[in-house]
Amino acid sequence: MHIKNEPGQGGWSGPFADLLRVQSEFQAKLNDETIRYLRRLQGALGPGSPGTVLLGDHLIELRAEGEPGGRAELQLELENLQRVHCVVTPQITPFVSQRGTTWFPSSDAAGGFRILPPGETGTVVLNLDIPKELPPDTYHGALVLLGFREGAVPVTVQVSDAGTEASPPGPASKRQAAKRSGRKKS
Amino acid sequence: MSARTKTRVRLADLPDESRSTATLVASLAARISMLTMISGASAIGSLMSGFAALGREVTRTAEGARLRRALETGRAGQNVAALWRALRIDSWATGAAPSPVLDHLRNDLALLLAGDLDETLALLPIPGSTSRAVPDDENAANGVDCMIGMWFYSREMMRGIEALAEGTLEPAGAVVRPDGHRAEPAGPLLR
Repeated sequence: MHIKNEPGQGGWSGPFADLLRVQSEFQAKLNDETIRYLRRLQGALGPGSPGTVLLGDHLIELRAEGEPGGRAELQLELENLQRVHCVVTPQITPFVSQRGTTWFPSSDAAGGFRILPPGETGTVVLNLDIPKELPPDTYHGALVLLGFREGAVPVTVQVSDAGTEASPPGPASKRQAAKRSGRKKS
Repeated sequence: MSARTKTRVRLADLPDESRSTATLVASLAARISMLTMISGASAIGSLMSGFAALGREVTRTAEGARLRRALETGRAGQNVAALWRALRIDSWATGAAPSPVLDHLRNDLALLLAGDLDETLALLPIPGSTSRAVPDDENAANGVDCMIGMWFYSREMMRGIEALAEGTLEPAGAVVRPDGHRAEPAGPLLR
């Protein structure tokens, strides 16, 4: 039997063709879903790969200070409680200020790579270059230890002008700013 | 001016999984044994799915986000998306269970540094190999050759991906103001 692809050119048409198409689509979908299910099952039953979890006080936070054009240094001390060597690769997330500025810091993160022997303690040092264009403010981000469960430590970087302290706008300063803008309008 | 605060955290085992030389050897042996039970497409799909999962995780970092932005806005990103769609690699990799590639790498590195590997290998029941004997000549594959090959391959891959992103890679240290204005730091790329 000769069957063409285009409708109206001698190919099958009518309710039987529709039924066949629906049936074929159903079978294809069923195959896809079965394979997907088997892959998930394989993932669940596959060989385990022991990992690492980061333990620390929930109040732990890394803090650093700097000024535009300068550098902020972060230090994280890591103690390996495991019985084998542990690889540590720290990375920095983007930072967001309280006023909504986002900063994608450049750091020497590659230099933070460490292989810690069992039972030993090592220090990871990350230097963040603070751009000159960065407005003084308090910036929040995280130091991520990729591959570890719960492997992130919150980081706060206080960026202030030389000789001044950056502070978030409080209610009083907001009122003063509103007054000033009101005077300007009048 | 630079101020700093040192914070201490501890790296520990997961509640139900202990990282010891014995468990790492068992994990590696199980992975190798598993290869005889699954198809090559399944194994490679699982690895690709694992790399994609790792890529999503790395994108959350400043460096990863910068690289992703550069690749997505360049020709390489568009071409890889077209290739994955046309050859249906996306559905293949999505259907496979993501392999914990970073855990595997770190566990294998830890095994290479273990001081008690010989004793552990002597005690553990290692499944027998079904492959033929290794010929004793200069073409025989060995672990050190494989490590050197992987080192060069990884270096080439890293430099290649960085070169693909180079044309559209923004300088590190970008600042995006609340109004959406993007201030790029002055550097050699902007000259």
